[in-house]
Amino acid sequence: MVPLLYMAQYSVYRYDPLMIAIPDLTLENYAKVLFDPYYAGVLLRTFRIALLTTILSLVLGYPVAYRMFVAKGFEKMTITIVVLTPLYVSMVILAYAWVTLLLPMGTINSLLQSLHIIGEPLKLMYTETGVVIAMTQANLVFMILSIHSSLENIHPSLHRSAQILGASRLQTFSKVTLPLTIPGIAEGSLLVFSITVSAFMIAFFVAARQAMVFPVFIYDQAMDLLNWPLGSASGIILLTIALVPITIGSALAHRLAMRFRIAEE
Amino acid sequence: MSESYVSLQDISKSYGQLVVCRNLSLAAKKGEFLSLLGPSGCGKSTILNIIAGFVRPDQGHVYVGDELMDEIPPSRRNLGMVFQNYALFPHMSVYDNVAFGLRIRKYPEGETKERVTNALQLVRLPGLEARFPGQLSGGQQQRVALARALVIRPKVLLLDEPLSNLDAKLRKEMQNELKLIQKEAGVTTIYVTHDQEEALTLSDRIAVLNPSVGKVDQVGEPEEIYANPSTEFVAGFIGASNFFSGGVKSIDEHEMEVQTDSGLIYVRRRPFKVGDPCLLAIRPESVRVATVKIQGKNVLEGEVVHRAYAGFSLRYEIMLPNNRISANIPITHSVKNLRKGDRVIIQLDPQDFIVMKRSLHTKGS
Repeated sequence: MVPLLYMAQYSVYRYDPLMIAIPDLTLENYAKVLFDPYYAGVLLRTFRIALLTTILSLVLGYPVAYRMFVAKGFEKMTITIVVLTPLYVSMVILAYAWVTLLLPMGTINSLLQSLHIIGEPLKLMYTETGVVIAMTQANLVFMILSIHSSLENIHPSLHRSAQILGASRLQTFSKVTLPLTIPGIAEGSLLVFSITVSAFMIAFFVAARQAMVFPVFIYDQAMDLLNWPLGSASGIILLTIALVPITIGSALAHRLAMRFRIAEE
Repeated sequence: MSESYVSLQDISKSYGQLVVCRNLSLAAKKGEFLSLLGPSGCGKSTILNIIAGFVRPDQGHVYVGDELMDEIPPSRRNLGMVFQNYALFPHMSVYDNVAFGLRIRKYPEGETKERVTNALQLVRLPGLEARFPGQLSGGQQQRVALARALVIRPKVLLLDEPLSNLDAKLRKEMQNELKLIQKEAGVTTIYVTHDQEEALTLSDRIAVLNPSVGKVDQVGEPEEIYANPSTEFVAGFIGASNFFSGGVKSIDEHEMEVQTDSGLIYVRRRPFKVGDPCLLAIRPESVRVATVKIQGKNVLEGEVVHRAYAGFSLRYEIMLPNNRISANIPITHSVKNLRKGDRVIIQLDPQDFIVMKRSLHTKGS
């Protein structure tokens, strides 16, 4: 909480190249960010990347979570270890590894070219696409764990009940399993969205300043340009705006869980 | 074969070292209420799941209505099943829960509505269609689960200890309801329970499962099983039993004399020969307790070692020479004030003994 309060304080000071921040209360920092189309674009890109990453994590993560759920013994253990990989590695290393993969002469392009799937290398570095791909991989683990947990919470007798009543495997999944994992999907999505919207490392390495996201912009202001007031104001703005979808999402997720009697009022 | 509607033939199932059943055979008649009774964890649920098709036996066959079920998946066996935790779909209303099976079978909505309403009436829960399972009490959830299973008019109804999660009073109520509903629906029912009192109350017939042999020890009507248990296990499991082991000493026209470690005991004559080892069993409620010498055969002396009060009855544990037995006496009886250490006289009527064959390596030798 305290660092946030410091940030709030700095955000209303005036920037001075020499003194950095003068306690002359002003709202110009906020005005600068909110009314400048360039910064609005950066903010929009940040949210767009977060949304795409969330959707992609969901689409790729659900099947993995399901497989993990049905697996037993050795297979289950192996999948779990692989899924948890991003957590063992520092974000810097992860981000740097992705650079190696995404470069024009990097692993992905070399592989696709040698298989004659493409002629020219794809431009993945310094683009939104590259960031989304890398962020998805880094955040899949959170989505998968969330969904897997909600799958495990479904009592096996529910699946058996559906089957004995005549439902095929597919029908059991679509009518019973999937609806009951919606709270897990909601929780995972919220988590991935929150993380991605404020993620720095991957965007910094993969997109740098060519596909600028807000966290990188804040970093630049605060660390490079030493414009703490502007950096702080930007931080507060990001936090506030990000809180809107997160709060709505949380409330929805909670209501769903209550509806299914998984959570209490 | 047409007498039995559900037939299990030579079913064997093991999980690693654990043998659940070994060449188990069982048959249920059409329309009857058959209980599968046995101690907790003895594999009764596994057998039910084998009938349902969720567990594949290592060997053996399952027939329902003369049709071989072995290769048919649970979703096509047309059976009804109620689980211990009811397993109602929490994200669906009562109506949608009950209608589930009908909708899967693509019944027109009009007929579905009619059948669902009738089913809810059968289980005495009219009007609760819009509620959700989370808003229902345990007893109500149970009935919805029953309605859901019955609405598809299954060939057989399988119940896996459905009343275990209810409190004693509700349990008794539901037992009565269940019996009525079953009779009204007329569906062949297989009921799994570890509660022998429940089995005795509800069943047309009881099959007692002995986990140590993995087979059904005895199948019969409740009164028959209670009065004439055919094995030591059944005698001990149904009602409690006091056991005396010994050998036949002499036989005359009406009686046999059995030499036990607690003395000579006279019992009604059975098809035994002199010298045969046998096991005598007598119910605690058949033990006469007195503080003074009484008339009759089989009078023994002992000492009270325990007194347990149970509301309408009293149980004394009495130490006899080389044996310890229980006596259940009604609370109105005159000998209700004995204490630990008191000496008593007991009398056991020869007519009340159950006599079983004993192999030399059963317990009690």
